[in-house]
Amino acid sequence: MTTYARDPKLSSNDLEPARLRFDGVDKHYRGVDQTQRAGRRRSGRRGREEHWAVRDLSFEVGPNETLGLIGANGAGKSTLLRLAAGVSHPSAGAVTTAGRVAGILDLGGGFHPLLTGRENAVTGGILAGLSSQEAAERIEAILEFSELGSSIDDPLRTYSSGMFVRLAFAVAVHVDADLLLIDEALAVGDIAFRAKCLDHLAAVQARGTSIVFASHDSSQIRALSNRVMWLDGGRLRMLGAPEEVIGSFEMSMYDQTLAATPPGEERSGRLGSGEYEITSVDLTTREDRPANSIPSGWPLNIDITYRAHADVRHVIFGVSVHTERGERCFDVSTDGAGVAAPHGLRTGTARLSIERLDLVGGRYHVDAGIYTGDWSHALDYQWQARWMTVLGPRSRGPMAPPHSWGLS
Amino acid sequence: MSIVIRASSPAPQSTAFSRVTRQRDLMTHLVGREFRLRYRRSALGWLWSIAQPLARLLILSFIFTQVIPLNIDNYPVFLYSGLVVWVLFSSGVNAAASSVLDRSDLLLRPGLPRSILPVISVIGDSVDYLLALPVLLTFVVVGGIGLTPALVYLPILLVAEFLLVLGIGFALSPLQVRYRDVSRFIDVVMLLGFYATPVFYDPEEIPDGFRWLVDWNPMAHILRAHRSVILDGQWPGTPTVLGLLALGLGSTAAGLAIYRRSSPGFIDEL
Repeated sequence: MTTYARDPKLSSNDLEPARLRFDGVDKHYRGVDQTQRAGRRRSGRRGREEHWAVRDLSFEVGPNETLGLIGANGAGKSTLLRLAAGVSHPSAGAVTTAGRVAGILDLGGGFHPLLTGRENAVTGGILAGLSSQEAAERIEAILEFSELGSSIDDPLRTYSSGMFVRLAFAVAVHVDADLLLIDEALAVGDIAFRAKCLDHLAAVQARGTSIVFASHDSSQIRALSNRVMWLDGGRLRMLGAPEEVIGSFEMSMYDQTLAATPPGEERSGRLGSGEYEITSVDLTTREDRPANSIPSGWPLNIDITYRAHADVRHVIFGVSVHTERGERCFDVSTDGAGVAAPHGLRTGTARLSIERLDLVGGRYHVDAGIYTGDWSHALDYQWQARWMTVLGPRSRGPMAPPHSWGLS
Repeated sequence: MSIVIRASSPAPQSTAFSRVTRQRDLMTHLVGREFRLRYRRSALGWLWSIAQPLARLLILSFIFTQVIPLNIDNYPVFLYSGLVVWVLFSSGVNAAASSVLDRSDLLLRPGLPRSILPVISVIGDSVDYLLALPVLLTFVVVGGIGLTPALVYLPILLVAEFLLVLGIGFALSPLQVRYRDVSRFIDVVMLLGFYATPVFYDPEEIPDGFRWLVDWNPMAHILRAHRSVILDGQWPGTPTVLGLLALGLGSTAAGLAIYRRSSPGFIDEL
């Protein structure tokens, strides 16, 4: 793991000022763009549509602190991060940062598609505060971390979103930031790289860097944060210890789902307001064979067949796999993968393809759900929709990745 | 009224010195990046920046020495000095005005001093000007004028024009973010400006009733100063030079003030 010498003056102590401070911050966007507004004004000047993205936010993030952001889509997490980065300015109030700020804010943003990965990495390093000499020295470490190999010299427009995140992440953690801002970037990319990123973030935290990050994955939030902020409609709903805030947030989502569930259905392991109905969940492996029992390391396809009873504009499909004891092995969604699900269909199938099911032998259950686009509640959620038996050696953890030992 | 207080983006330990080196590093890198983008996959690269004024030189000097003779001494040198100065102005203003839109990818990164975008763009065009200088000096030598000591004054005039272009670019780029019409508007103004500025004709020939066209045209003054240095080997006069520098500084200051006012909203409007 690469570590760099830090300025001793930046080592943490109680007297050090906050790395990030919001004082009564408001941010609103105009609902219509300027040219349209000019037209609108001529036609009698109706009230301007304004959209509040963030309202009256005040908080501080100190040195050595990691703040996790949770909340439904549109709750203001991305706006908060953009304000913290200084790429967007508050409509009222003040945002103050101290030290070097780096971040991954928008996938595809901040890099130029025509320049190569290497050129973009150097630009990223210099913009984040490295001198051109430091940037040149660190480029090798950045390339190594990104594992992009020779693709590093290809133009960025040829990159997949996974490759993009590798590069953006590699740059962000190699610039000795005092404040690191990450918006959902940890949800993209393959599991192995994500694990590596999480490991590296722990090292970054140990160096004293403050981190503010948004994630839909509550296990990531739990793993990294000292404090968690729950944003609801642009306002701070709750700020405190991770377990407490995440617990309240999940409880509220469960309550909203329960409130929307027609009476009499909650006992069957199903919840949801019912605009979408999961008609079946099917597990298959190679050659479309059913996967009631499946050898470890084989591919697994999970097909959610559904019927839409009403047109919901944005829906999210989610699947999670749990051990017999209820431990969550993984939890993915179309939202996390950045896939837009089609809407307006009467019936359809959403297929999740898992290239390798690297789980240890045992019994597992699959939960499937269809949610509203803002994650506010489930349209239909089936707990333990299917059970499957993974064939393979049992072990203590749930993972059984391909591995080998080298002894010398 | 919103009040935004921001701590300086560089690390807090930065002294005045390290801030200067940081700005220099950032500048050098971004200008280099600009050139990599501009001449990407181009075999002749920067040579193309000379091709444009040379082509205009060819056609205009043919017309005004052979077809409609204007009888100006050393016409190619007269014309080329005008073209180089005009091209820096017109393409400089155009590029600077669209610099925010063109490089909006950079605006999404924390740590970018926003006001750097038009500066980078104008530096890029000034480099084109510098690249055209050897060609201009070749014309001066071949045309029999010879290299005079007065040529050392050229950088001062370049600075004045640089500041003027930068100021206009600063003022127009926020407008272009809001109204894409701005770049069309600039094209039209530049077309008119090319003829209203004595690039290819002698300002003395303008009838008295239209002299205001030249008197109130800052580019006409910059052009005259250039020609007095290049063609006559003379210092254009302290009041003229100070006036041009003051104009440049005033334009940059006013442009920057406009730019600073509107730049917080850039990202939301892109």
